[in-house]
Amino acid sequence: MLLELQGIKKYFPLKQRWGGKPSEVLKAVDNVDLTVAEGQSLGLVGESGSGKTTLGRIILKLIPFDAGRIVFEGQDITPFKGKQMRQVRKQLQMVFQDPYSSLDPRFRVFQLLDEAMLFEKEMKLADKEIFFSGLLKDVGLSADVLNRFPHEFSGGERQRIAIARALVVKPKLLILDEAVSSLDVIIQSQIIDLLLTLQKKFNLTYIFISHNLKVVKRISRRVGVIYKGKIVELAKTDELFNNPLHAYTKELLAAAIEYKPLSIRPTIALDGEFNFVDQGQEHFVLKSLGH
Amino acid sequence: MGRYILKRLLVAIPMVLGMTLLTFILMQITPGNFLDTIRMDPQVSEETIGHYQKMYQLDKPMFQQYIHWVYNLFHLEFGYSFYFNIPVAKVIAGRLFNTFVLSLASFLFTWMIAIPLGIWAALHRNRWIDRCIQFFSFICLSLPSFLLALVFLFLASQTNFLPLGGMHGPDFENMNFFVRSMDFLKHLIIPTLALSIGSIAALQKIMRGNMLDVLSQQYILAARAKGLPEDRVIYWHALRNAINPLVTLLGYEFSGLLSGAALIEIICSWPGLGSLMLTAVRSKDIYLVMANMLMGGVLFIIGNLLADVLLAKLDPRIRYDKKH
Repeated sequence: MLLELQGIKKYFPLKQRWGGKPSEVLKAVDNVDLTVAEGQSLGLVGESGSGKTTLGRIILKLIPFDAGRIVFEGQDITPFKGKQMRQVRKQLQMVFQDPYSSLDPRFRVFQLLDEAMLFEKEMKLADKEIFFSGLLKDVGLSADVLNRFPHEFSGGERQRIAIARALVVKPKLLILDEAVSSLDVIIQSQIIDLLLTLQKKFNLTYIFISHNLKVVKRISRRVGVIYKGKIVELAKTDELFNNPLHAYTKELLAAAIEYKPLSIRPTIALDGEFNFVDQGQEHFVLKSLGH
Repeated sequence: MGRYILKRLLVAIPMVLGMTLLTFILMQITPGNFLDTIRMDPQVSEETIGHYQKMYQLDKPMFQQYIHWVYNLFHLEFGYSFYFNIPVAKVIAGRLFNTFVLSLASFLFTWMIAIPLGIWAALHRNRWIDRCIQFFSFICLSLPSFLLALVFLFLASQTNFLPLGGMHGPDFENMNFFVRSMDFLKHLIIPTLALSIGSIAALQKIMRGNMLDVLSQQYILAARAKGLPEDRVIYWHALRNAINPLVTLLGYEFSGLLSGAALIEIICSWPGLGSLMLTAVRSKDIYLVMANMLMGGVLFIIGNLLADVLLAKLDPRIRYDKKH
């Protein structure tokens, strides 16, 4: 396994008294176990606020978490800090949702790409330019963009730059956090095609976080459904879409097809003890122990 | 860029003229006249008054007087101060340095403290150190600067540590250069502190806000995800983007360099332009007021222009000429 998450928990305090313990918490990520094999893509779907973005950021250790372990390439990276963690981050890269705010407006494309390699000084400038040009070609941009600033590009082009930036350090795992959500449909499908091509070329592993079921269906081999910080169902993509077992997954799939007013939508309670049960063929569902 | 600057400067000319015209009208339509004060002085003869009247065409209608003033302006004649009985340029020149030194000292002090403080507060957001800074900033913002000056002067009088107002010690004439400078700096401390404390509090809050704004941007997260060390994330990515609004502010500060601070100058008996202008307005010394307004206006426009040019140099997104 390339990446293993064991019992990850992240609680945000909602109300906090001075010096005291928080009286209410938001369970953004609640006891999540996940594994991702090399070269695979895992889709994570869920509604806004379900904790999927938080989970993505935890994997990169961009935000601290309360409990659990992250094992990357057989190495427990949970206690890693500072320089050690920065080394690991070169294997784990991220593409963010909003290409308009994820590229520093003060930096030229060359600098944006170069910065990740800042501490690898052996490479000569000319070699770098060749390397970056190749990379830009891979993401479908011409080499002459190197000297331009982010604001000179369209959203789709910016997202291509963001992908190129993530690929500079030759990562193994790419976390795509709503990476196509702010793009229009045609650009979306172009970027997804690009991601699939790049995956083959560089043997990349993707964690694809999105609320958009169609996009997730196209890119992922396995899909996990997140609801209220818990993974409620995890299965191979076809299996999940054809044979959803958990009530929330059914609800999510139904909502993608037709619009239902909020008032007639059932709320699904997630209280008490749960168990992640294998239903055969690697199809896991969260089941309440009370039943 | 050169074309842009030229355009801005050309637009500035009617702006400055309009501002001076407004000042002129306001000074004229309020009751009283500067010549009245001179007439009351038995030492000044009717002839002298007649001479002034002729020189500045004071017997003519208001607008003619104004046009005459503008005409003189192009000959670098700024008019005559009736209160001080010498040309306006000389009156201002005598005070210019004092005001400039005090403003510059307070400006440097404010920015050198407030900017790092704001960054520090933003990086420790909502921790106790940040809360302390914000709490004291709130107090400092609420205290008027003249009150602070009075408090400082009182403390100085109790401790004899710092001089009580003025610019020089009593035996200034006999000091050598080094002692003179030290004496001058000592006199500078209280007015500078009084002027700066409120500004530090305000500027610190602005810097903190900008910094927090930028820190929440995705490119900061992206920079961290890239594996950059934290200080590079903060000083290369966050700070460079957070500084933009402050550049505009810097332009405003520039115009303030010569405007003086009347209250502090009066309390600390600092012979600057602020207290001079208060005297000028009260005694209806019209050309002195006009000259000061002109100076303030020109500096304001230059300061703004400098800020805009600097902003374009710093931020690649800002371009004034059409070509890309």
